Amino acid sequence: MNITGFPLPRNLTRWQKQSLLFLLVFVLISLVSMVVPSYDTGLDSLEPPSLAHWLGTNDIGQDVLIGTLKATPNTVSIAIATSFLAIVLSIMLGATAAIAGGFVSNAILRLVDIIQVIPSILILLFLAALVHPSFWGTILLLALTTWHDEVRVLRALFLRELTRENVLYARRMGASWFYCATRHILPAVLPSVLGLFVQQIRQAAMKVAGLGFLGLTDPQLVTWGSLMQDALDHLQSPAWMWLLVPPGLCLSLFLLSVLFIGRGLEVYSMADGKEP
Amino acid sequence: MIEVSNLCLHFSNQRILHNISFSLKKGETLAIIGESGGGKTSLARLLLRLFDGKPIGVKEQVFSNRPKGFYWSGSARIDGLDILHAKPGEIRQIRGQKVGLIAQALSDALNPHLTIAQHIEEILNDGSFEDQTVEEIFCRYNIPAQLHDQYPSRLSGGEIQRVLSALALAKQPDYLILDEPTASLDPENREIAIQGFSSGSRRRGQILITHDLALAQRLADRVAVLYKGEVIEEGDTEKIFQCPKKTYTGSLIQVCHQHPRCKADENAANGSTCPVCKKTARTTRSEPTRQGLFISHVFHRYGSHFVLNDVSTLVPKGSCLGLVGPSGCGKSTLARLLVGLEPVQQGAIFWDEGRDATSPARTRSALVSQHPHRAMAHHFSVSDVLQEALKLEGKRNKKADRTDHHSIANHVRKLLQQVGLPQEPDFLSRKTAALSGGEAQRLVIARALATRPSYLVLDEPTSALDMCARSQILSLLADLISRQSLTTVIFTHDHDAAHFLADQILTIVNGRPERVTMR
Amino acid sequence: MAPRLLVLKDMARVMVDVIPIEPSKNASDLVPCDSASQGREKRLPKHFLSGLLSGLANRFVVLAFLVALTFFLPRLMPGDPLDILFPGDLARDLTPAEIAKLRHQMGLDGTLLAQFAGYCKALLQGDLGFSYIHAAPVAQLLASSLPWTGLLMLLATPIFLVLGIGCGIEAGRQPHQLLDRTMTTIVTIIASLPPFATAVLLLVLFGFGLSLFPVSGAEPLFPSDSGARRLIDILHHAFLPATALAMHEVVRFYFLSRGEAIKLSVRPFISNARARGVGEGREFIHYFGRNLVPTLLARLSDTISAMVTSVLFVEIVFSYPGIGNLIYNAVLDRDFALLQGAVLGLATVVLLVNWLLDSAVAMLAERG
Repeated sequence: MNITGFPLPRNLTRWQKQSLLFLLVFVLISLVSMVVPSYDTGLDSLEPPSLAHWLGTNDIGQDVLIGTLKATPNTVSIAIATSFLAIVLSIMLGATAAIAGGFVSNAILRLVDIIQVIPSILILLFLAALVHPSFWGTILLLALTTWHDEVRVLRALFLRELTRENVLYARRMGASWFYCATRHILPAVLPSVLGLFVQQIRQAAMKVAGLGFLGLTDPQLVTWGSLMQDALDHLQSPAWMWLLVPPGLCLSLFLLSVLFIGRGLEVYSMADGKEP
Repeated sequence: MIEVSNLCLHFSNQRILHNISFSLKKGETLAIIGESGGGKTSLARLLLRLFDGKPIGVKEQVFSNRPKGFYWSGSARIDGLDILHAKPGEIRQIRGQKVGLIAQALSDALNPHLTIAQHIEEILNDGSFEDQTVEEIFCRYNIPAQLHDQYPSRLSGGEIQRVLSALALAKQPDYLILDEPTASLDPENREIAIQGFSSGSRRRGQILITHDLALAQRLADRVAVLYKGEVIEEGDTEKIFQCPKKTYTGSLIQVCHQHPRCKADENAANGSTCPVCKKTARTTRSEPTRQGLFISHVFHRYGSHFVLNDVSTLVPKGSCLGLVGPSGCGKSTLARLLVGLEPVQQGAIFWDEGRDATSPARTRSALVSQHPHRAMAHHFSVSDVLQEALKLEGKRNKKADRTDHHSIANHVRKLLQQVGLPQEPDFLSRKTAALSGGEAQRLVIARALATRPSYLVLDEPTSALDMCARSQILSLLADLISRQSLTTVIFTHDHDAAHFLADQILTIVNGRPERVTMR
Repeated sequence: MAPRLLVLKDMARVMVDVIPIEPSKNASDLVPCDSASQGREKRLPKHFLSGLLSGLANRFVVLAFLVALTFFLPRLMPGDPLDILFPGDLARDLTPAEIAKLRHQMGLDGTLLAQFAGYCKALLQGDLGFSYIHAAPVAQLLASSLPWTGLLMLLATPIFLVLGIGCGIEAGRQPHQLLDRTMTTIVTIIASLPPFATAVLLLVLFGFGLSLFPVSGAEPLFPSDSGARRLIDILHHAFLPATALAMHEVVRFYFLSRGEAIKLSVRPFISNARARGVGEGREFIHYFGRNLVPTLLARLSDTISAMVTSVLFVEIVFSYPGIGNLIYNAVLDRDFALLQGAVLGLATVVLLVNWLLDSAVAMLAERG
């Protein structure tokens, strides 16, 4: 029996259970955040936690609990969408570099080299300060400054799969590239790509929080980072506790659970396909 | 005196060693033999406590949900010191001083960032052996002067072996553990090393851990056979080798029969004692014909380096050519050329006079390579692998009947049967990654057969397999070669395997064919 | 460079699938995984000089890109660039004549190309613009804040190198033992705290709570006249921010060196050395330490990038008068001239420093 009452497949691995639980919690929070009262300013500013405001209020009287709830879907979906976009970009470039080789590969790797030497926060800062990106803008901005991280890894991965004997064998037997890609290469790289994707989520979440904390995202966009920014002016008073801790804890828990899912994924994919 | 009694070792709930008992006096050599994965190396490492673990009581042995880690019980004493319960400091005292270890002479056996002289200095510097100088040690263990300031990556296997011996013996330990000491040596260095071990064997107690029975026979006074973590048989070397009590020991010795070396040692005039050999004894081959695989003046180079330098040979139809030579002599390149994985740069490879063998459209060749798991997609199931081969083959021949689902399933079963693999649906749906090395190699052979190749190229087909799997694959290949009269080229550095399978053997050195041996 | 999943598989093979879950592999989301091999490629002896030069060329390209970005972006935005580049509050009361003058002063008249040429020329002369809010040239503001940022980084570096590498090796030397599990758990938790949260916690705990350290600034309001006293004050002020900065980097170096040490610990030369009775200290330094040096050195130069990111947050939390705070205030005040100049200035410094580090590492590698 499982708590949800849905008929789940029997032999779920621990990793699958963890991920499902995580997904469930996230969906629940998102649903709840839709029905809670709106994140309005009020007269009770900097109220400590009470029955009326479970997690207190900030300096313009917004309820921290509501803020944290509303920020959850925003932050999480930005993080996931960003890393998805970034991983798609880097797969495209990595695969191109691996397949084309020669000049194209050199050019792509050179580009990655070039982008890697600059702290992306500088570009991010400048762009964000100019446009104060909203939801989609943040995703685009973050994806464009993180795509280069995994290109090298993915290129190596594709190169390894392309030159594996099973692919060579199929090619020699007259199989088309399309056949090799869909039957041999993509299924083989999928677990690793998923692993990279999960790791990118962590990084993206950290960056979204950072941008929010610096007040660089659209003021309308409530994220855990922007909530934490409220605490910055109230470090001398006890207010930092209810201003900083709830969103901070959410972020840390999110990062930790993504970490565990990623770790489980590694063990899972290891059990699935062992390379002797 | 080393006394081991009822020694058990578990990793979490997985049994590695079970109820091991033996004793060893100074002046004796005990060989512990068995297949890889039988727990031999764990035993060697445990005697020096080279991994961390916890002692447990005998009763706790079956205990589920233990945190991961090593657990041991029983006792192991070296001159009275209880190894399993001693403090880390005490253990460090006896390591090197009382018990030495000589491991396999891999280039990674020495610290890549210390020179040879620094290695020697290091063990002399800890106080107790100031009377010896580095030079003396170099002299005594026959390490040439030009190696002193080299880093280990520059050393050959034999030289590393000598350095390892020097390091282990410099402090004159009372006991010596030899863990596959000759496994990566060429025959000459192997001989030198064996003489070294046997000359000092009266002064100390030696534990020899090996899967090489010939070595055990030469060095050991007593032999213990380790199988799945248990000592199943122990006794004097001669007795064990002449009349093994357990079938497992018998089969180990039988595998050894396939080694010409063993045959010579045993002076076994009656070859009929070996059922494997008898079964695979081939009828005399037909006279050389003008049909077969022609390799004519093949040159191949990477950059300015010639990997293959004027290689020419003929493999008559239905015969087996063995190509032997040290690693790096160009064997793998030639194998890739033969199956058309790389274009021929200069020279030509023909099948049956005139058909360009390297073009897949004209001639069918198949490759069985060293790492069977790398040759198949690891997300494929067993039947996926064979079905793919059959489908692609059918598509190429444009034969509709062979792409039909039912006949393919039949064909898959037939192929599996040919290579001696089970045909149950359970096995068919197993992922290739879950197969053992031997099973995977059989499957690769089956896949090769699926395309009805004109000739078969075997590139080190057994070197990644353990002893038993190796002998099984060799006899399967011998069987297939003789029954289907397959033309085969086997590339290997394993002379025994080449002698076992091939009709003629071509030795390649530095990309040049050196000599041909006929059988 | 094999992806980390594959590295894991290798290890699993060595340890016969007995290895517990590997936190170290997840550290690679904190550190780009392949820069080690990338560095090695660059450092082949024959490519030594050309490697250095191509590194320099790469950095020039980046800088050129940044110059173009900072120039064109505000001008491509909808609306008058003057409104964007010049803080709104100040411009409100100006007469049209004054605005035209201002436009000329800021190089906003003429065609876009001519403006760009003027902008580049000014940059080459070291003129990074003028901040109307601070009423000072940007270059001067940068010059006064960069040393403080440099001080924080310099103080933090030994802390995280010693702590991170030391603990990492110690944990990886005997993986999955109690010490390793404890340390890895702690470091994993630290890794899951955003850098600004760590900084705030340190500040609240040791600054406001225990009052052990000052809570803001780099010096007391009135710096002492005596040199020694002043130095102590400065160090006292820098201690908490430097620690907060180091915390984040400790994580990177811990996971990096632990992962490498685990890989080393299953290699035969380590167990052979242990079987010879090589002492703990020697094992630590000559067997693990020496073999880790190339990997760690290769990582050093991208540490600069990571530190710049963290130092920004740390300085904001501690109101430390470094460049991070300067940039942050520029963002808050919408002082674009300052932001533009500060980003370019900081980028130049970072690129120069990591090129120098790269070259130094390459030089070391060259000597062996």
